[in-house]
Amino acid sequence: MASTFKTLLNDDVVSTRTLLHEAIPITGTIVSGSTYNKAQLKTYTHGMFESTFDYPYLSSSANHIFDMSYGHHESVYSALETAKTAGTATPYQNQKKRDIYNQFAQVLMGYDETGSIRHFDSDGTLDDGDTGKMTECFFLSFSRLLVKDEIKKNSFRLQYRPSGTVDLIHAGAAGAPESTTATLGDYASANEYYTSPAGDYSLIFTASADSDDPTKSVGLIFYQAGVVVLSSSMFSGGEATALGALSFGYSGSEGDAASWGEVDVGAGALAAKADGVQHCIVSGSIENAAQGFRNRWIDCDFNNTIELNSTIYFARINHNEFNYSANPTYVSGSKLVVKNNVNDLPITYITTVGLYSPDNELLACAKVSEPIRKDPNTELTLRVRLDY
Amino acid sequence: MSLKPQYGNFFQFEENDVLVNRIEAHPKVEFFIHKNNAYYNNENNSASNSNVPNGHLSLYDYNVNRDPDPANGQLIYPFVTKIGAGTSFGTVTTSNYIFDFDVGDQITGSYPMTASISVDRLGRQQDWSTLTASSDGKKRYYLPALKNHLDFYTKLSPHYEYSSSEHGDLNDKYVNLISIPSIFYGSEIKKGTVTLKYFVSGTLVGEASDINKNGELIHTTGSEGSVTTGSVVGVVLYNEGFVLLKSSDSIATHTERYDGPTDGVEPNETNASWFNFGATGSTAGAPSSSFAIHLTGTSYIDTLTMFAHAGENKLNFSNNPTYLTSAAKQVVTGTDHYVEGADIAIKNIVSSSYAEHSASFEPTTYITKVGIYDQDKNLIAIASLAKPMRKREKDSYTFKLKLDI
Repeated sequence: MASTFKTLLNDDVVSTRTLLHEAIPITGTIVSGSTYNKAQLKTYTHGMFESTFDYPYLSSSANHIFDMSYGHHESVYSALETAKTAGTATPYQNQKKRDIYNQFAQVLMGYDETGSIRHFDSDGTLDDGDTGKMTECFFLSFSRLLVKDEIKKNSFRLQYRPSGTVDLIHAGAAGAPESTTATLGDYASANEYYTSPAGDYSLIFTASADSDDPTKSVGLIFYQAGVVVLSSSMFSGGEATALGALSFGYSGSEGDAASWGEVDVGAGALAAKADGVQHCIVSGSIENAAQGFRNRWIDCDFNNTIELNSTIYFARINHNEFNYSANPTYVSGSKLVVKNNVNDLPITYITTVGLYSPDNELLACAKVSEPIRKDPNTELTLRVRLDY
Repeated sequence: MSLKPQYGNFFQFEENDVLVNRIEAHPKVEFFIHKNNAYYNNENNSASNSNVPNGHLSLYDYNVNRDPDPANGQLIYPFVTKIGAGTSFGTVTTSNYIFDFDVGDQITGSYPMTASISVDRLGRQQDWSTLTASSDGKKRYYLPALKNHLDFYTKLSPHYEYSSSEHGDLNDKYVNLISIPSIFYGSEIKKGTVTLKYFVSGTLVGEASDINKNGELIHTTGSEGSVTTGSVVGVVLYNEGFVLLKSSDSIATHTERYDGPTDGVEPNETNASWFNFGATGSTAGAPSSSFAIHLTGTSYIDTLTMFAHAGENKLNFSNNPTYLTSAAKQVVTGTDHYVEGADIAIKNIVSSSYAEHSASFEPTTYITKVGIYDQDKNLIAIASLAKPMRKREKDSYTFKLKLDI
């Protein structure tokens, strides 16, 4: 019997989820500012973070790729305030650095049972005293355009130079300590990751070989939030240079010296250049710290993830179904146009599958790329996929 | 009106507090074609993004100016791991998907995805039959695929009709099909805005416009050739973004090679005609001819406008901890109780006009945000003010919130 509607049974409907990924490379030439003479780097009057674009940000073609900031914990803030009073330190943007830390920490790590903001904890174990607590951190907030639904686990790699001053790095002396590189990665995340208020997170190590030992972690990556938190200690392990093991060069030359040393930190350019990351994050601005990091950035790669949810409807057509069409062109002069004589089998050509609600309201149409012949000798199953 | 203060944070929008407006925008679009190159709105796209050819728009603007060599690994690209769901990219055919990839293999795509106009000088049906099933061969399907759409618009003009005794059969005409992706014009091309201009050595020799706003492209300028002004040379499918030019008669005495070589033999020169409009296939690129397409699109932006009222005697208390004096934190807690002090003092932030003198207390708040909640009191949107707005009991404000939807 000819019929138009056919009910989809439980076995005819299945929901699936497909993960689409994008490989995202962020090369050092974009990040350091050398490609577009820093026109892709956006700073703000508040000075609490700086934004990096993949093209001069005044262009409509530019995409925001990440923000970089630095922050430290309340305990560091208090110690620096005490030192400032005693005249033994000249902290700069001390309060803003504390605010940045607290803002990231309360969103990403949440609060403990006393209502205090949790520390970032590099070993992933939250309630073990001060072990693994990260108090001085760089923050990378990748844009949603790049992260999409989340960063794919065990895909994050960041190659950088842990040591050397900016000008020596830019000079590119072969074999110099400045040419030493390290590659950060979430190497262990394929086997182990943790849960925070902002979703899954995992530990970041400077080498794959260290990933068995959580105490060697130098940071955290929050996959759904698209945020990477790195301890400033990642810059402390570099080899000795002519200017000192911890040299960070935050007021060295980045293109031109005048624009690089944006904050007078009370030290001469060379002296400041020779000082390590510790001096920079105390006496320099947040932008100084970001500049020092960016100029040590060689390459960063990660894969993002986009969840594609689909429902697949199997429209099953038995041999005795859908062999007749209600199309007006199917009949001419009270005869089926597809039959030349009375004994011919009825034939239809299927062009569209309609999905209807229980009240027979048409909800969706699926078109086939070319009409499919259907007669009583054939059975078909049309696979209709609805993505959402 | 009661002067009694009313406390509470949630207020329901009334019927007249929520409006939906629709803004109709008309973006101008211009393509200029010369020597096998197209330019969009007179911009040099490839200068700002080497990975996007001129005349193209890039979706998402990915890979701006990145090294195009995949070997250098600077390009963003998508990939999907083959599983049983059959998800892949449009560039992978079904047979490729089945036979070229195993389950677990990565199927990769490429960025940027760009769009531009295409000019397909289809010729006549008898020419299509000689085409093989190559990419060129698929052009024979282009016109039949538009048949229903063309016939549907015969209510606008009989010139749309695919086959008629009055205007002939499209299959027998030299048809030039210009396809315009909707990313350029939005929802539809605005009627009466389509103009095609044909230049020879910089001089306008022919112009066709839909001056009657009924889809007919009427030859309005140029009397040098055999096409007379006022004659219909094509039609426009406004909703679908197609322009069909159906005239191969000359519009100027100028002749040039508009086609590429066949079997290595260069073709004869032909007259400037609407069939040759936008030709980009010749070896030399028809250097004397240039073409311009002007149109205006139509796009709609729906905007939700909400009026949030902060009336008199309302919203004069804050739950912010800083709203209270520190002495108010007289909390007694135990294993089974949490008791706040009975006398909670609110900070008096009223500024006095006199030195060494405190002004009289007056409930004052500073409104910084307006939250929009759903019926289950889930916060679904926040509007932040540019600067905090002082709210006293006697003040009454209305905040206008706009949301593009």
